[in-house]
Amino acid sequence: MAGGINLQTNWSTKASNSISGKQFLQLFPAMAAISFFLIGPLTFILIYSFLTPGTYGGVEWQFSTESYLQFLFERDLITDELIFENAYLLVFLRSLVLALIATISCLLIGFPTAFFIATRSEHNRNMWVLLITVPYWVNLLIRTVSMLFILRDEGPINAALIGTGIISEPIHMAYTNFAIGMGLIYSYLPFMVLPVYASLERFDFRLMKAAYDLYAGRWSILLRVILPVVKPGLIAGSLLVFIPCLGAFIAPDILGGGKKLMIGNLIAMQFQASRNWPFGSAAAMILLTIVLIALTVAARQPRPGKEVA
Amino acid sequence: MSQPPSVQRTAICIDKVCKVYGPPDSGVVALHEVDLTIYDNEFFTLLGPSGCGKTTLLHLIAGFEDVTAGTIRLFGKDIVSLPPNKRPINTVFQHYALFPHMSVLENVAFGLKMKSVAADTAQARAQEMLELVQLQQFSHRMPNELSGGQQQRVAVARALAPHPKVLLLDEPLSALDLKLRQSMRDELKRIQKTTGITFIFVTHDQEEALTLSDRIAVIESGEIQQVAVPKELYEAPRNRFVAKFIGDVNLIDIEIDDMTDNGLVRVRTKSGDLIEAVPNGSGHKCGPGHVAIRPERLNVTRKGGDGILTGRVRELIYLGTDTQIIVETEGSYELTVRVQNAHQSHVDVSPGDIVHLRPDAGTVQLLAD
Repeated sequence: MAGGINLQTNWSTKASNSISGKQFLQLFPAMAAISFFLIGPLTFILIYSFLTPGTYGGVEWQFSTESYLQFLFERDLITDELIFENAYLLVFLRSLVLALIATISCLLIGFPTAFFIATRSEHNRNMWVLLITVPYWVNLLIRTVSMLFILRDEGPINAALIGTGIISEPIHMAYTNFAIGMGLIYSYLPFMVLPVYASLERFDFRLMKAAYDLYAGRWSILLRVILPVVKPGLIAGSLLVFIPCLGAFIAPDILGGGKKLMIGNLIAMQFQASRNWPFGSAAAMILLTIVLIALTVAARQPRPGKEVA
Repeated sequence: MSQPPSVQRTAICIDKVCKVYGPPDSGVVALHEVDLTIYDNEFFTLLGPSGCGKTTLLHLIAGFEDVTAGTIRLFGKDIVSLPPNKRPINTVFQHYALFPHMSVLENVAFGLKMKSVAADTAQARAQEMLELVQLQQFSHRMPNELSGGQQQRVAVARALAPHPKVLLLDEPLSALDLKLRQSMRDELKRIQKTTGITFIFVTHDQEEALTLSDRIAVIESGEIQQVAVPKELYEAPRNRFVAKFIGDVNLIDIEIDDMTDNGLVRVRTKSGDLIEAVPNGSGHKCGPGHVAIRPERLNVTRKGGDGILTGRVRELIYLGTDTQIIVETEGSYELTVRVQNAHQSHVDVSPGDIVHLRPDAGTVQLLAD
C-alpha cells in the first residue's frame, strides 16, 4: 500500500540500468523478502486461478479458465451453455461503491480533523495524533463488534432517540449497507487523518494570509490554496482508505450480517465453505487488477510543480 | 524632496490607534496612541528595532489584526471593520508566501482572479506586472524554480497586480543577501516611481530606510518617536533614541546655559567647554540635557577657544575611506571623530595628542530628552 504513495514521487526518477555486484548484494535482503512475501504468494494465486477446483478444497493440476468465466457467467448444467450472471459483479460493485463512499466520508471527516490538529500548538499536536491512533490499540474485530452494538435496534443510538421521543420505532441500522459503511469509516479514518495531517503540518499557513490579502474568501482559500498544496496527502490518505476498504472482510461479515457480501467475504468463502480455491484466486486477481488501476490513476495525477497554465 | 507639499492627498490616516495583546487593561501594549498621516504617492517607511510595533502597525493597516482602539482611514474611509480581502491594500510578505502550486503568472493573476476580473484581462495585467519587475520570460516557471530575488520580485508583482491603493512591504529585503538587497532597493524605488502607488515599507535597517524613503517614522516601544524626511531625521534627531538608532552619533551630557542672539542655545559640557546647539523646537529650559553631534561633523583643529571641544586622542581606527579618532575629554566622556582620508592633513594626530574639535555650524542638536 505504501508503494502506492511512492509511485507519486518516484514515477519519474531515473533508474540506473546497470547494477554492480556490490549494489546487488546490498539489494539482496530486500529483494529476497519481496520475493518470498509478495511475488511468491502472488504467483501461487495466479497459477491457482487457472486450475480446476479439487473436490475437498485444494486444486487439480489441470489448466482451466473456468474461474474467470464463472465470475460473469453461469454454466447451464444440461446444455453446458454460458449464461450471463451478475451476482458476483454486484458483489464487486457493492464493494466499489461502499469503498468509494467510505473514502469520500473519510476525506470529509478526516480533512477538518487533520486541519484542526495541524493548527494546534506543537505540544498539543502530538497529543491529538496519539489520540487518533488510540482505537488501533484495540483489535479490529472488537471495534467492529462494538460498532454493531452501537447501531443495533436496542443500541444506545436507538435508545436515545426513542427515549427523547424523536422516534417510536427503532431505526434498523445493523446488517445494512449503512452499517458496513460506518464500520469501514470507523476502521480506516486514521489512515486518512494521518497522511493528510502530515501534509498539513508542512503547509505554510502564511499562504492563507497571502490569499486573504489578495481578496480571496474562506472557500477560495480552501479550494485554491490549501487543498491543491496538500493534494499529495489527500491522495495518499484516499488510497490508504480505499484499498483496504475494497478488500474489507470483517466489517461486511459482522455489520452486514453475512447477507451483504463484499469482495473480501467472497474470496474468504471460496477458500472456506465453498472449497473453490481457483475461483477464490481468480476473484483475488480481479481485486488486485482493480487496485492497480486505482493506483495508476492516482499516480497519473499531475505532480504539484509540473502544472503549467 | 524636503517637506511634503500640503496639497498632497492623505492616503492613510492613523488616528489614536492602540493595539493591546491579551486583555485590554492588563495585556501587552504593542502600540500606544499612534497618530500618523501617510500621503498619496509617498514612499513611507516604518523604521524601528524588532519588537517595536512596526509590523503590528502594518498588520493593522492590512487587516490581519484588529485595532484595540482608534481608527484607520484610507482616503477618508474608515477601514478598521473591513477584513483583509475587502481592503484595497496588498502586502509583500517577508518570506514571499508565493503559492507553490501555481506558476509565476498564476501567482501574479491570483488577486485579479479573486476580484472576478475577466481571465484575459487578468492575464494581460499579470504579464504587464511581470514586465514591470523584469520577469516576463519567467511567467511559466514555478516559484521553486526561481532565485530568492526573483521570488521577491514575483511577490511584488503579485501584490501590485490588483491595483492596490496602498502597497505594504513587510521587511521584503531581509531574506536576501547584501548584493541582491542593494539592487532590489533600486528596483523598489523605480517601481514605486513608475506606479505612483503609496508604499508603506517596514524595516529595521536604517540605511535601507534612508536611501528609499520620502519620509520615515521611527517607532520604539509602540510609540512614534519622530516622523521626518531622511535628511532631517539624520541631521536633526528629536531625541536620544532616534539619534542613536540612525547612524553613529556622539551623545554629550550638557547643562543648558542660555539663549544666544541668533536663536541657538548655549550649552556647557561636563569638561566646561561652551558650544552652541540648535534647539529642537519642543521648548527647553535651563538645566541638564543632551546634545547630539555626528562624528563627521567634528573637525580637528590646533587652536582651542569658544565653541570648541577639547580632549586627548586615545585611538585612531583606519576604516578605508575614513579614519575614526577616539578622543577622551576631561569630562570623562568619549567623542568619536570621523575624518575623510582624502583630507590627509586633518588626520595628522597620534594617540596622546591634545586635540581641539570644532563642530560644523548648526550641527549640534539639542535633544528633547
